[in-house]
Amino acid sequence: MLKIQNLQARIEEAEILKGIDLEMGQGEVHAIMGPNGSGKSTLAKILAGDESYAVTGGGVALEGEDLLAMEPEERARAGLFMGFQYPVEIPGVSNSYFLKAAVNAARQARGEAEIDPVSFLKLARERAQWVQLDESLLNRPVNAGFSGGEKKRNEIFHMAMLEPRLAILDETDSGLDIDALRAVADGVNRMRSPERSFLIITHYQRLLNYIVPDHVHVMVNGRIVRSGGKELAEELERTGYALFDDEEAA
Amino acid sequence: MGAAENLPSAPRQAFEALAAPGPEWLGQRRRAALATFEAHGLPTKRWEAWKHIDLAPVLRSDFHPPAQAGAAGDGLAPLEALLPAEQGPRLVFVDGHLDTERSALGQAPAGVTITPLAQALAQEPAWLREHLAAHADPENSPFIALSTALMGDGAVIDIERGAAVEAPLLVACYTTAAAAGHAVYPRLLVRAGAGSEARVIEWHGGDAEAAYLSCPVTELVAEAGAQLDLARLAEEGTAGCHLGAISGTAGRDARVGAHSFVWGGDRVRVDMEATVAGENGEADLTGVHLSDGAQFVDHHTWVHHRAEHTRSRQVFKGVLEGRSETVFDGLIKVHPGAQKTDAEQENRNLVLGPRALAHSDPRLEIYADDVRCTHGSTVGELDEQAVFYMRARGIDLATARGLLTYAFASEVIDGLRCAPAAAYERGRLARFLGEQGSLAEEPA
Repeated sequence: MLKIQNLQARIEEAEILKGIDLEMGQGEVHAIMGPNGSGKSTLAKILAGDESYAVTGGGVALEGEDLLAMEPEERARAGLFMGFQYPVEIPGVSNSYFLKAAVNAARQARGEAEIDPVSFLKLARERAQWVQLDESLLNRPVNAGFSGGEKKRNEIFHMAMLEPRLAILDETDSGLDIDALRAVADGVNRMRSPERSFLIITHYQRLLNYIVPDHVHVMVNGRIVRSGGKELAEELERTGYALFDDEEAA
Repeated sequence: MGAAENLPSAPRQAFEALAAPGPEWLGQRRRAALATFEAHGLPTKRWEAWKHIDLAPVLRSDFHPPAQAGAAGDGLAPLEALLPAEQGPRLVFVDGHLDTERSALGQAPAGVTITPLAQALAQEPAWLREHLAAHADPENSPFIALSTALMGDGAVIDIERGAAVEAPLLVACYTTAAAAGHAVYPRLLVRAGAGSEARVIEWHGGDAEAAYLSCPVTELVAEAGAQLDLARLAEEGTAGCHLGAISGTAGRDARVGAHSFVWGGDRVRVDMEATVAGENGEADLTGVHLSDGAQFVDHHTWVHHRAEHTRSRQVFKGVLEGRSETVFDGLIKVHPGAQKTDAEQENRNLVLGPRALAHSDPRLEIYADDVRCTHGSTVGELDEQAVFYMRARGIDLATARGLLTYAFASEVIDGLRCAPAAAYERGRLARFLGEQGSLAEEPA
């Protein structure tokens, strides 16, 4: 599904990714954990196509295609979804209009007809339920005036509507209360399937109690320093990241 | 300098050639306006309020009104999209002359009298003298002075006390290639009687490439408790110049709203003045302008609070493409004694063209101590984070930019209290963005 090879990147003069290798199979859930400033969110943004970062080495293939050569919208249409750590407010564009445009862009890329308004509305209501997103938020401008929890539910709602093949969730759990965290996790778990992969980026183990990963990677200072199964997340919860700082230093 | 020295005489010649100057009181006002014009002359770059505009295209005009109307062809076709003919009364002027075939007066709703100005001057209702050429002050602008001195035909609309008129009343002015090198001075006067409610659409268009000058002046009077809204849509031809003014006054508990939508034209300036004269009165001035190429678009506002507990709101937004240049210069003036004034002013400019330039100049003059006045002004580009967010959801770059621009401008249009004008403007906005290649269809 996704193959990252020796990926290196910088922003201005700062080297942030120092050679990332990661391979994800179809249907797998991977978690990347790491302290603040480790580069894990940078990795997510680069995968989504954020041009503020300069890739200085290595490559990324999505189902064999050169991901880094694609525009952000081409990546989305190829089935990549990025759940933002800080979802952007877009005053004046309604959530449902925006989402319909996004759904239709993906359908068009697959050579399908546009979704008819009635089917769209039916689907939107059903998927909003998955994350207990208040239906009134469909007609409000995208994220404008949403609470922190509503914004994150809205991200997962968008994901549920777009049905990606690979979803990257960038610190979706940060700042969430337990109800919102459960709602977000429920949404993700409903979306899990043998065809769909998830890359979950988080600082805390908490989310992984609800979304149980197949693989856990620890990222420190721009490198993946350890990989393992779900038990690695539990170990981190006990020991913290200090241990890896030492490894990095050594 | 030779041409410039001769210029003041051209308006005087035009004035002396006036066929029907009207009743004596109007003749006096015309002469006074001409004297005001001649005292100051045409604006130069040294005039603070006119320093940004290059008037060369305006000075191609000889200031004479065209002797007769040219052929409008299908130039008035946009009116059908704006307000289908069967939906209400309309007055249509071509090159300053009433077009009786295209006008429809037989179907005025109850409580509305809509009359061509020439006819109103012949009948001379008692209130006409009180309000015609009594609000738009020639001292405010040389072009108000010119337009008052050389006032052509136009529309006089009277809304009866207590009448609630839902359907908009339409006044349209079209300028053809036959008027190239000349000038038109349309006049609109609307009086909304006490407790009445009405909306008026004033549309201006012209032949592409025809270098004409239009100086429309509109006076709005909202008497006690009335609600009066005007939408002026300036869609002049590519070489046409529009130097116009709107002057509104709101009495006690009344609300006067004026909205200016500019799309097209070479040099366009709309001077908007509102006086909130009665307690608990309100003024609402809004504008949207879409500029491209080498266009120049200017909105100047003057909002006067002259009574206690008065409110005003100004919201102007501009979208600039190409190497267009725009000005917003807005005044809130709280006169002595106008306590509890609540005034807001906002000007936002979205500069999309790499060589486009937006000037924004908010001004406050406050002579009372218990007031709330706010203003905000921005000149900026699209929010790149929002663009990326949309692209990351699969929306292409051009559409993302188009949608954000549409949202930016439609926020003002959404507040318009005239649904047909709002729908029309949204369509224009989508078409403008479509021409920039950034929006394939109007967002529903």
